[in-house]
Amino acid sequence: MKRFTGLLLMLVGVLAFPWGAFSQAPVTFTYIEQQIITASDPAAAVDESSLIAAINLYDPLLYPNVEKGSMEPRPHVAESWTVSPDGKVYTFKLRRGIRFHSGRELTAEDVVFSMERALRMKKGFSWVWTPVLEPGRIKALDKYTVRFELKEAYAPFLGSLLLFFILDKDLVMRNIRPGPYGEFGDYGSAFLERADAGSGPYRMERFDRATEMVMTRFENYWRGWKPNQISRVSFKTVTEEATVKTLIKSGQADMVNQWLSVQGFQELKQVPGIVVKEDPSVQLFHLQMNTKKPPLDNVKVRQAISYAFDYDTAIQKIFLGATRARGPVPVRVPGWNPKVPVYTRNVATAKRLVAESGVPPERLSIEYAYVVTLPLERQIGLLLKANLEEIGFKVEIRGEPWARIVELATKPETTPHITAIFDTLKYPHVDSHTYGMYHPSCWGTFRCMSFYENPKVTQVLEAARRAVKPEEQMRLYQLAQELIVRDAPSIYVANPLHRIAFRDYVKGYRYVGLLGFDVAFYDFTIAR
Amino acid sequence: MSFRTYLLRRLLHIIPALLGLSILIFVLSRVVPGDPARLALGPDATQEQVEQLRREMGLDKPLVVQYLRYMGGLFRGDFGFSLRTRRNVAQDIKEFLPATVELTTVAMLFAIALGVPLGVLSAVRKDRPEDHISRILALIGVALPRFWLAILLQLLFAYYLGILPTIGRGPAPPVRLTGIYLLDSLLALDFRAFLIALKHLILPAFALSVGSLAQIMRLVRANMIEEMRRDYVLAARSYGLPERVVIYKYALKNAFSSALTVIGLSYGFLLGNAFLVETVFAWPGLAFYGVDSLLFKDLNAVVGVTIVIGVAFAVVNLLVDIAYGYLDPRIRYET
Repeated sequence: MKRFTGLLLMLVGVLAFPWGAFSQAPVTFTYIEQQIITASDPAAAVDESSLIAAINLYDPLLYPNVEKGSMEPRPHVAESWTVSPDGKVYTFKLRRGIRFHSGRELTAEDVVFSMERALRMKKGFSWVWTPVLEPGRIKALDKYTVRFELKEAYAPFLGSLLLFFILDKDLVMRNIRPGPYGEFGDYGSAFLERADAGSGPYRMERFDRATEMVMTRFENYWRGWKPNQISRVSFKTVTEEATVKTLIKSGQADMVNQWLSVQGFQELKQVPGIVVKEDPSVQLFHLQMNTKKPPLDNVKVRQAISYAFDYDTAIQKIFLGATRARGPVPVRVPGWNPKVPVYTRNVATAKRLVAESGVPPERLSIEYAYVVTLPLERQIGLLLKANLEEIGFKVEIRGEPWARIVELATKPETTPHITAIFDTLKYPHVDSHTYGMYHPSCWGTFRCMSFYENPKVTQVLEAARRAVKPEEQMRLYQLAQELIVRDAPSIYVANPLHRIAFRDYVKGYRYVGLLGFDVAFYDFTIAR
Repeated sequence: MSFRTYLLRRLLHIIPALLGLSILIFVLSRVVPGDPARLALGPDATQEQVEQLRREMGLDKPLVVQYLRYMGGLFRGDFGFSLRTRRNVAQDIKEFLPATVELTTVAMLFAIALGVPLGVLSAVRKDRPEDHISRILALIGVALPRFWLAILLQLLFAYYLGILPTIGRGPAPPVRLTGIYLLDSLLALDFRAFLIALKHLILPAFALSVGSLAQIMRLVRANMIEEMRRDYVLAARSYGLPERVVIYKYALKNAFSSALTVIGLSYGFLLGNAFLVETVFAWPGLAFYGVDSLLFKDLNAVVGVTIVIGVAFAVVNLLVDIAYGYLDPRIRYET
């Protein structure tokens, strides 16, 4: 009886003991974005908020090497790969045992399905792959091997797979509705508005487009979980900067996005408990010169303008800190050419070049256009005006809505003489800021408002894309950079700082330059 | 003219007004510079992709054909595809409209509940300190930019005092019947959810109401002063009726009828202009959605929102006219 009573007491003691205190308390995290999540379907994601959702809900085939602070691709879903000698065939071995949120294993069929879906839907980043891929060229060799057969060698291909997210084929196909893609209906687009079909570290619990996406951690995530990682994320949309600052200052938000003003970040820096992390970004701020419009069709005039501009004032007084741009490729992008010529302010040289150009003074009249909602671009315009008036130019400054700038960019005749543009790396490859900006195939978009044309550069860029060996690719891309800068199609002003603010108990934040990949909640731990 | 004929006539007046509004906004949305298909697909989309989307949206058709198609769809409840949210605009409106209706209704209630008594007080205590204070408050209310007031309220009550929430509507009530949280929580008899929703509403609704509050206050004051000078007030007083009855039962009823027009107009105005307050408080409403769509050149969304706000404006004004007729029976027969 005594033994029974003892056992009973022990049992009661065991049951009454606060075991919960020893288990891992759930860690919730609030992240604020100032843009709405426009696409919860990863095949349609292009903007930062949609990409952050995709990165946390889905797995891309390859992943940037964040551990080394680099955007170079490293194994992820694909654990290894080989490339054929002609650079046209990529074969990937997939990791075994990766589970979708549905519980099904991720296989080569899902990879084939996801890429063909992206190519057929023609949304998101599909334009990166459409030049070299089409449905039928991606094959599942066995359950864990997938092969991509490109039409031709394509240097940016491997890097672009960081933006290729894999969906659960069965789940998507079970949820298709009538739509524009023939037998595939809407390809599950409507379904992906309210649920996810991924294998990422978090699963979508709730999504109210205008306000919040709630994600909870996927316990069976293949990379496993460590203590103090985030278990629940409230990803909120708040557009007003004053409100965003109030939220982080009061501790109602743990991290806020990069779109606050420079002054906003300066203010947050003064608040105890808030960390403002600054890194050189992979963004280029440049003033594109329309090379088809007189007097800027004269290379000496463009060079003169490049020499007249006051870079130091722009960076120190207007950007309040940034990296001086050295050519079209942001300096932290692999493949940037450190030997590229750099224009520095030299009024005497600028005046000499204007004289040598043979353009009469009365024709030195140009217009500068900027996005009307960006005061910084207006300030740059005022600085440019003052600088150019010193060497005899007349400058008219014009603010335009972004929609209008995009429309003006379609033709050389409508494109202003000079347009201020912020241009972020579109895919993790130097090709984005060389071929993507200076090959004539891009004319008509805001990225190519210089309408630059140099047969030698075009030839070099095409050869770089087709080159198989990475060293040869890089040599050619670097040569292209030198040639382009000599022709001065832009005033290369700055690689602005990427800034983000978070509470000081958030650990593990890493910026690698790729849009959205710095806000992978799986990488963060909370040390309150 | 019977009340029914009057009502029918007023309803018929709305049709050409809405038709005119739809034509105007449809044409305006299409002539504003910027290619919506290019904007929606992003700068890197190929020309082929842009053309494909333009064809899918019918943007390659003449404007008249586009309009007729759009109106045809509208009668079937199809507001067209939103380039921004990538779903039917009707779905977006269904999601965002209740939040704005809730916000503006509570704001209007604030404006009436505070504006009318303060206006009466100001009139009764004309040229005394209460009147001067209310005049100053009214001036401030009209002059203060709403977004600035909203930020100040947010800083004071949410950040420093921490007694009211900073943003949003709070958690949705368990049952969604109307999308109006106050109503849904009451219908579900969930009083906790009701209180949470109310707490989230106080700051944005007050910030939104201040302009209308000041207007109503001044109008009621002016009308009350005029009414209080009339013979029937003198007669009522001479009969020895209590002052409270004279003021609230007789004078205010007459003074209020013209304020009603302002209230109706204000409600419509608030519906369309809640944008700044919705932005500051991250309130997921229709005004914010509309302005965001405009910036993004989301054609169908812009037209859809404008038409919905137009309809709401017309309906509220109709209700005001009916109420006006109730307060002053001469109106419906003399129109």
